[in-house]
Amino acid sequence: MKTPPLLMAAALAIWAWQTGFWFFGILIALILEASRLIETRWNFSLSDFKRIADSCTIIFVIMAVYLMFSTSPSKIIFTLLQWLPISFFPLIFAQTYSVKNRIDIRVLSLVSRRQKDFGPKNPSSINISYPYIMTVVLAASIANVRTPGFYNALFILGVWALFSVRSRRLPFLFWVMIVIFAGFSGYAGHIGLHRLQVFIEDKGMDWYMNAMRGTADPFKSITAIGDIGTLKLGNRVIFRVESPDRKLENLLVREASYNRYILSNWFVTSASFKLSTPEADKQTWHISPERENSSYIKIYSYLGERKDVLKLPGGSFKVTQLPVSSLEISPFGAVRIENGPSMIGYGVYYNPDYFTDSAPDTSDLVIPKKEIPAVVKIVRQLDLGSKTNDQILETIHDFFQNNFKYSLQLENKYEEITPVSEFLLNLRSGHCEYFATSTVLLLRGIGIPARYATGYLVYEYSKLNKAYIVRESHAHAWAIAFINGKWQDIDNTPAGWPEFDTADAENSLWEVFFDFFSWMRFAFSKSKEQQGGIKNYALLLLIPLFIILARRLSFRRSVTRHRKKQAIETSTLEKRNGSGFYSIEKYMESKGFYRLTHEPLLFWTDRIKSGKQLPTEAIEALESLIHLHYRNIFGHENITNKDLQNFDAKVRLWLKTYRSVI
Amino acid sequence: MKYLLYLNYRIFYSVIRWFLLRFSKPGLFVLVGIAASAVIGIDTRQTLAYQIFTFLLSIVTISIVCSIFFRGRFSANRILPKFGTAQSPLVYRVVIENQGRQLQKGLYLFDRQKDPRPDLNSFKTIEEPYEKDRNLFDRIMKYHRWKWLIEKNQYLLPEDEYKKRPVETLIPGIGTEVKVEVVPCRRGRLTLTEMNIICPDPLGLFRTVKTIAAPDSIMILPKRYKLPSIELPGTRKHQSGGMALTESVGESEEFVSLRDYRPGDPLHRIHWRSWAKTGKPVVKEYQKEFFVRHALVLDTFTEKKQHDVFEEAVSVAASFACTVRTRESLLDLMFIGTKAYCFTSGRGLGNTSQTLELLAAVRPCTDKPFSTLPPQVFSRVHMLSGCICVLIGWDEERQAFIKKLNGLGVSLKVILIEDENMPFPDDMIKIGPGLEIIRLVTGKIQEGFSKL
Repeated sequence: MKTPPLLMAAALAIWAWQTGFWFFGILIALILEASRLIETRWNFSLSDFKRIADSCTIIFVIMAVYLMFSTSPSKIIFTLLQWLPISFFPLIFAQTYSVKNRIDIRVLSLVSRRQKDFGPKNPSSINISYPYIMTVVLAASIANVRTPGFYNALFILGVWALFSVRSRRLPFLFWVMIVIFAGFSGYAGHIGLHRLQVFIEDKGMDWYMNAMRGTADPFKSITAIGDIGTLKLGNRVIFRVESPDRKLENLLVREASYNRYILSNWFVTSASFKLSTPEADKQTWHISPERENSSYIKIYSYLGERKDVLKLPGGSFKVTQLPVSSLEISPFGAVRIENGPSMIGYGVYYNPDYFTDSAPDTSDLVIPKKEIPAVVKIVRQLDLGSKTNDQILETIHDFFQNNFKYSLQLENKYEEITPVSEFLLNLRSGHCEYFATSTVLLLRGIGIPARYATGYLVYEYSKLNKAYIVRESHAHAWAIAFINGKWQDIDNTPAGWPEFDTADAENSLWEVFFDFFSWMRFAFSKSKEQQGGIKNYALLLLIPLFIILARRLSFRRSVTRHRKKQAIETSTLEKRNGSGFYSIEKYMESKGFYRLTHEPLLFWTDRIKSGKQLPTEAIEALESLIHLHYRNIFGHENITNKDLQNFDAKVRLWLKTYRSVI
Repeated sequence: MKYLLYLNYRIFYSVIRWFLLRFSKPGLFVLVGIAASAVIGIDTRQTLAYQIFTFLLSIVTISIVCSIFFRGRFSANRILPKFGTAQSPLVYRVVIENQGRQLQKGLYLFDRQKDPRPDLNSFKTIEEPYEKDRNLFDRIMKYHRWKWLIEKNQYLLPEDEYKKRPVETLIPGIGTEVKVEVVPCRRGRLTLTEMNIICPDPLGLFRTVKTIAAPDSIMILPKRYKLPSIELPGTRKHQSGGMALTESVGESEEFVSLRDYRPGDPLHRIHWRSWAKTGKPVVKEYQKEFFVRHALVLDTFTEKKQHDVFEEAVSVAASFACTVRTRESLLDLMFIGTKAYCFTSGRGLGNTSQTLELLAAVRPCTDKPFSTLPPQVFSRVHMLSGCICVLIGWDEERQAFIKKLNGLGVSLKVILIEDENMPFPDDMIKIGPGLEIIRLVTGKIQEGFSKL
């Protein structure tokens, strides 16, 4: 299949437009389309083609290596796919300017290459023009420039390509209608498909949140309160915390806080994120005004695909070294970021005395109706109403420390009361979510505004990492209370709970291995992010690849060059065989003057003449054209292109003259 | 396990065939595009490939929907020649008649061969020649065995089978001829089972197929090479068959014709005037039971890996069978198949085409040793003027056979076909003075003949 003129250039133009690679797009398009004008062709052998194909692979690998050190892993594949038209340009160039204008299948298939002895004896060859166009269009789509123009351009390109392969059975107008219908249905289809994905994502979010417990959502926290079984959390290291003075005993690092407790889950009501503006370096972000006597830590964490929530200690007011495109702050202390590198190492300045959370309101005092009896009972039992705020905190703390035990066994014996009430009144055993929720409800019970906070407890120092490491099992929940005009962390979960969670893990040999590999990955990612780190060595790594590329591209013998003479001869011959006369025959057939199979043309005209349906002069003119046509296809004399052009002109003239009478 | 593999390959093959039949090349390309864009565009937020996916899917769907409206009834009849030749164009005509009421145009024709898929028993028992050399995975999966068995049963390549042959406008009730040109890829009996009248959809991607059952077969003769003017060895010998074999040419008192001198012709038969005219000795021929008889011995004892070598040997034998002028001499084709065959052609006994038909059907002999062939040749050696031996091996048995034939005074032409990947060492091919061995390499047979 030969591509229609300028189809390749159009596809490359779309690619250049979408990706911004105008230089490469125009250059490749010019080179490939120029083949229609340039007559020079090279006689590449099979081994030459193999060499060129290998070069494409090497260019691809070079690009992959470069991207490994210059962009985040999640972007490598998509960027590589965007660059495919460049990496496979040598192959399409070789095909376009080769004498054969096709590529042996053994060039592309490694399996066929290896089957030297018992492979196919007559391997087939393919024309990669259309596959290359498809690659170019797919690469353009990956740029993800979301404008309606892309679909329009795609539609025009499709029509362009389909025009040459259309069936001649039906009228052209019918084809046009079908193509337009296909364009509209494709348009409706892609909008519908996108909406379907959005719908499924929305509906599937609850399921996803349940399945992927631990992923931070600043609007909602699904707890395991009320569940039955054993709560198990992994020991994968999630993030690392470096502290200059190494004094981070039991630091609570928060992801979000919530104010509404409904049916065992915590929610945020009426929270809107505010966009923050970075400093000139685009890496320093202010969460609240600067405070004195601040502490500093550095947190290394892996980022999710697009959005993630920062892990910050209470009272954080400034974040540095954070190369993200946007940072949003919620009034409930959650800080959301977008589009960052795969791993971030950000510095945090904080003062635990100044929380940035919004001032309390009535929602911070709400206790669900079903929990009120248990809360009132405990408040009365502890006689909290007669105590000062500090005494209240101390009493509640002692109450939980002395009467409760930490457990990951989830039980629910009494179905008539809520899990938290059961925890407070009967069971008195549970995990941190129970302690945090109960604390919040008790504080609210005596009029102290309180919220539920989720995050992690930082306590495990790793000598290997030279930093604190925080595992999945260190995920924690606690309360924040508004006492004496400021918010503060209240953690009433019995001390030593982290050891309880990781008791098995620490004895596990596997855990040591996992920790080691986790550290290796971390060290690699960290050095990649650092300026002047591994990035500088990337170029050194590329040198051998460039040497291999140069070797593959150096042709030991010269490739013979040909003029396009043969092709021209072929086209002339084709023209002779398919003489323009057939357009008359086709026209006559469309008017009902069918020529029988193998019926000589002059017999045909005699038959038409005998029917007396056409003017005699039209038939006579036709007969003279038939003689010329015979000369064209059977004549031994040198028939030039000019003769053929003259003949075609006469055919057109005949059609023009007699179209009205036939 | 073998059954599951067989079933899997069988179904997969059917699916591929269905796609090749139903989708045009652009249609197949669009399908690949749909698959690629589906993979890349799986997340509609990440890329715009889903727009390509929906556009391509909509055009394919519309193509398929449009194709269901095609109506037409046809009959078709092939006009086949008696023989075709392997790897040479076979041209025949197909007469198609439009039995419907509507004019049909823009159609084309596929001519389909017999389903080449092997049966389960063949798949289980017949090993592919290179099977033992393949890696463990290939040996377990047996895909190459399947492929090889398909190739073995396949006379037409898919390119030929699914080649678009335009049918001229079909007027209702009038037969239209279509010229079909195919290139059979191997010798044997080509069985054609059906013809497909293809109607492309308006977009040219999907096809509606009307199948017409039309079983036919044609013998495909072995591929033949153009031989140089090889002087066939030997002199005339008395034929014990007597006059029954000498009805056209020989030596008798009745003059029949003039011909070139051959060593052994008596001097008194020389026609001096013709010698003077032509400058070379010419003798008179008379009817008698003395004439030239050659043997063409074909070595069929092959190993599995020598499939190509064997095929070339058959082609070389066929080339000799065609070239030897059997009006003047006899040619005994001898080989061992399921039994010992000796077919005599020439002088009215049998003709070249019959010899070629026999060669078209010859199969490798794997159940008998080479030692079964020499006695057949030696039993006729007293009648033979010369012997052309087409061998595919050069082991001790074959060497002894050639030595003995040479020793019996039979003039010999030994053609040894070698595998291009495994030629025999030069020092092996030494048999003695006065005996020339023509070595030909597979894939370069014509080149080898040209050098002679």
